[in-house]
Amino acid sequence: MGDWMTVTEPGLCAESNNISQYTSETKMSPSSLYLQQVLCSSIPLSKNVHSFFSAFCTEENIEQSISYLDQELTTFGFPSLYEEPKSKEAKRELNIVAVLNCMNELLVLQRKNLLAQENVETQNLKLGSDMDHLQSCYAKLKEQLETSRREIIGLQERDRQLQCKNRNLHQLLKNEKDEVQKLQNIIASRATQYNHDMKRKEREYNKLKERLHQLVMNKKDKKIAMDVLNYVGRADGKRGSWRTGKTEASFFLRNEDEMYKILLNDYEYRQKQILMENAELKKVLQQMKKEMISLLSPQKKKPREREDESTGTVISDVEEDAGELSRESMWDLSCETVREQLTNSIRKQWRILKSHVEKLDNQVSKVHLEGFNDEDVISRQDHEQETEKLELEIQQCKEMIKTQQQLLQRKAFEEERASWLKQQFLNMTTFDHQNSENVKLFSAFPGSSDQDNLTVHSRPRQKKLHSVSHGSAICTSKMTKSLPASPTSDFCQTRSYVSEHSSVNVLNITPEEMKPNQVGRECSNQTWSVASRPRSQEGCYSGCSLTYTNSHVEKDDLP
Amino acid sequence: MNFSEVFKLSSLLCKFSPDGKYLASCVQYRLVVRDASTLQILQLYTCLDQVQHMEWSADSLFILCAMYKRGLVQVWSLEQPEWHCKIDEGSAGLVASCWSPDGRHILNTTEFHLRITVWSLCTKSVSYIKYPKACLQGITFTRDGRYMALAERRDCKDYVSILVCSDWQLLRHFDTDTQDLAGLEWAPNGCVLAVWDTCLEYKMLLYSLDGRLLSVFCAYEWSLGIKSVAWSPSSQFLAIGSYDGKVRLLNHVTWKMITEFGHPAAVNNPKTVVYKEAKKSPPLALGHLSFPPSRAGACPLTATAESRYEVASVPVSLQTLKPAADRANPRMGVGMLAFSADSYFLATRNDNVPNAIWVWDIQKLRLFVVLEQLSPVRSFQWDPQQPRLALCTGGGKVYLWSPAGCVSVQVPGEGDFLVLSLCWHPSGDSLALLSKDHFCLCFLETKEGTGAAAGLRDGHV
Repeated sequence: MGDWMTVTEPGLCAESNNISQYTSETKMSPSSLYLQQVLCSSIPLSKNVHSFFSAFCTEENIEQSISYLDQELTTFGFPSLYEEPKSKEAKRELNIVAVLNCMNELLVLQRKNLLAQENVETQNLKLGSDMDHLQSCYAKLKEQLETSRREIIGLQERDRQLQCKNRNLHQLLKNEKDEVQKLQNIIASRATQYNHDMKRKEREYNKLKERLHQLVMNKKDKKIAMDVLNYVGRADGKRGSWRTGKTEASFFLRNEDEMYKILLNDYEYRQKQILMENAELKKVLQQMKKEMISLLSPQKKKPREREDESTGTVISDVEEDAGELSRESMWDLSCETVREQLTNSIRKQWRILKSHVEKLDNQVSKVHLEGFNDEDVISRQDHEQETEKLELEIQQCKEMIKTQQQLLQRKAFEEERASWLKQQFLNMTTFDHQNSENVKLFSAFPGSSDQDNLTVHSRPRQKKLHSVSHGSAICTSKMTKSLPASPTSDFCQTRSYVSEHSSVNVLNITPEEMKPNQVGRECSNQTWSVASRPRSQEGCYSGCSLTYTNSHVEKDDLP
Repeated sequence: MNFSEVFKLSSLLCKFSPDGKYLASCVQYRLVVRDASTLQILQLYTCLDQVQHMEWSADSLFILCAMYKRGLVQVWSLEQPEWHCKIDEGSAGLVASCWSPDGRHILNTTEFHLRITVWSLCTKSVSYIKYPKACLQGITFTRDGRYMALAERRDCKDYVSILVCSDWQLLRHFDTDTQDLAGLEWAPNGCVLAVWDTCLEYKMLLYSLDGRLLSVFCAYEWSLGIKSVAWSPSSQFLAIGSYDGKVRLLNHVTWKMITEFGHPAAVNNPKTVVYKEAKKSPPLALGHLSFPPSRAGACPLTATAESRYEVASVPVSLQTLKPAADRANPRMGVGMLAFSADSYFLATRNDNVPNAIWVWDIQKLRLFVVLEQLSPVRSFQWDPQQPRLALCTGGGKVYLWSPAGCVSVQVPGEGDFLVLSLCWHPSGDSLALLSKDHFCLCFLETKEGTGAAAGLRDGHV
């Protein structure tokens, strides 16, 4: 026998659906489904009743079913279905009254149970719906809470930003107020100044009005005059000048002139100052550059020195000097590029120097760390000092040599000059008496149209030995014959000619070449450094002596 | 340091002659000429009225005495005491009178600045200059005396006229871009003219001798502007003191500002030396204090009390004065400026801090020394020969500063001698100290003696 409480046949499900439509209006919740199952299973159905009920009791098992029922009922507390047995062995008779009563009891119970079930079901439904309602409320409230929390945060943020802005605006306002105050103060002070000035002007104006009034009323004026005992002389002692139209203009121009002169002087002075300053600064920069270069390239100099000794350094010095000179003249021009070059080169050198010093520093620190003795470093310094000293010495020696050379030259020159003069003097004294004779001869020569020669004629006695005459012809072979041959060479002979004829002779003339024209040409070919004025005896002397020395150098046979 | 006797004086009119030989002083209507070293009276002249202004001619031969009330100018000769000259401006009135640089012309400014009359002492000629400007410094002569610059105002516009002093010819006439010209001054080299505007407008204009505008300098707008101006003797710098308490130095090459010196009330730089005048407590305190002060001075006690200089350690805070905000020409800003003769130093006074003098080192362009006195400084002047500054505060002492140190010296004499002004002798050997009714001479020893002697006096650093 199945458990009829939980049996759900397919047919029954269809029925139960219909029933649910009629009995419950609530949603199909799981609980209600279960309820429906219970309901449909508890309510007896009108159709198919017989088939269902006949399943328990049939024609064959009446006795068993009665005894089973009786058993069940007695366990439930109902009276027994059997009548009271008359004897033990006799068959128990069915008590129909008891059966009917039991049936009635069972029906009543059934009705009560159904009612109770209905109540419970309705209550269950109610509770379920309440629960649903509460849950939905809860969910809604939770959402609301979230949104309101978010809102709060947002509002707080806005509040903070607004406060910041507020503070800034306050600050700006304060600043503006301060500035306004300041401007107001300024305006106030200006206003007081204006007022003060105005008042002053007004007072003056009033005084003027009064004075004007006074003057208008007072006809008799005090005389405006100067009373002086006597007029004083001008400060610079000069006399005053009349003022006419012309002098007015000249005054004006003179004043203008003076004014511009003053201005120009001032500008020139200032420019000179600035140029001097510039030159000094440039010198300093150049020196700095030189020193920096020398500092930075000691390694290069050392090998050179060892090899070439003095000559090497001298050459390099000379080169440097030459280079420096040319560069110096360039530096004097203060054009943009030159200045830039100088500053750039100094900057470069400075950078190199800086890096060098840094390297040295590192080296020194390394040295200290590694524990080397400092002899190396010091020796280099010493070495540099030594080289500097040597260089200085070399410079000094060079200069000394130069000066000595110059002195020697001069001395030699002086000696020769002295001896030449002596000779001259001697010659003059010997041939003096022949001057007058030979003057006539001289005048006969052609080409001697020079004024110098003529003037020479007029002064035969004067020892104008060296007047330059370009076309002056010299007497030639005749003279050589007439004069006694001096023991000295050709040159001496020419000198004697000079003394006789008072005209400069070509020093390079040889006796063979002594023809007037040729001589003249040779004369003209020579370039004389002597002044052509016969008056300047001194100059002539010196000039000739110079040429004398030159020729002397060439001839090389005179004392 | 020796002090001479005290002599009578009126209106602070006491001046050394430009050649340094004489000293002229005015007592009421008398003009007394003394020898500058012995103070012996050499000449005595009597004017017609009380003298308001007295001036030596540049060659030290003449003295002019101007009596504004009577409109008279009298000129006296030193060589010829009997020579006399009287210029009567009559109804035109007289407000100012001065010599021309050649010492032979007198420029009289008539009342209301109607005109300037140029009177000649050598010829009978008279010249008139119309429309001169009524301002503090309207006339300025070049140092060599060749040119005169004059401020004029016509039709509410400012003009400058440059005149040649030898013949009073007009050399240049040009208008200036100023609101209300307040002053002009030639540079010592005579080639640049500085012209500045009223204090309501900060504007400094620099003109060349031929009237060309070289440069305009304007430090700021709106606030009150230029208060005082000084050229350095070498013409290299132009110092402009203004109402904002700063001095701005312009250089003569670009006419741009090279530096500005501020005058704050607190001195912080440790390299600056601050000399503070401190009162020495008198030995018999009560006795002295109870003595009633006889003169109506501002600070009678400080006048009589002993004081000396002390070196104050930096930072120092100086006494300030709050100027009245509602008054014109307020007491603030740099009102007094002066360069030393060698242009190495600049002494300034900020009117807010009236008790102190700032000395600036121009070689290094920084503050060198601050001297703080017990009372407001009335006047200071540099020695014409060496960098030595003399100042007075209206008390009985004269104060001297030099790079070697500073000294305060009490002027000896019976009663109190309140030094209101001072004036150096051209050689820098002596100093005339002027009070309201008297003057005396202070002979400074030569360099070898000054240090030692000054050291012995009360107050030394």
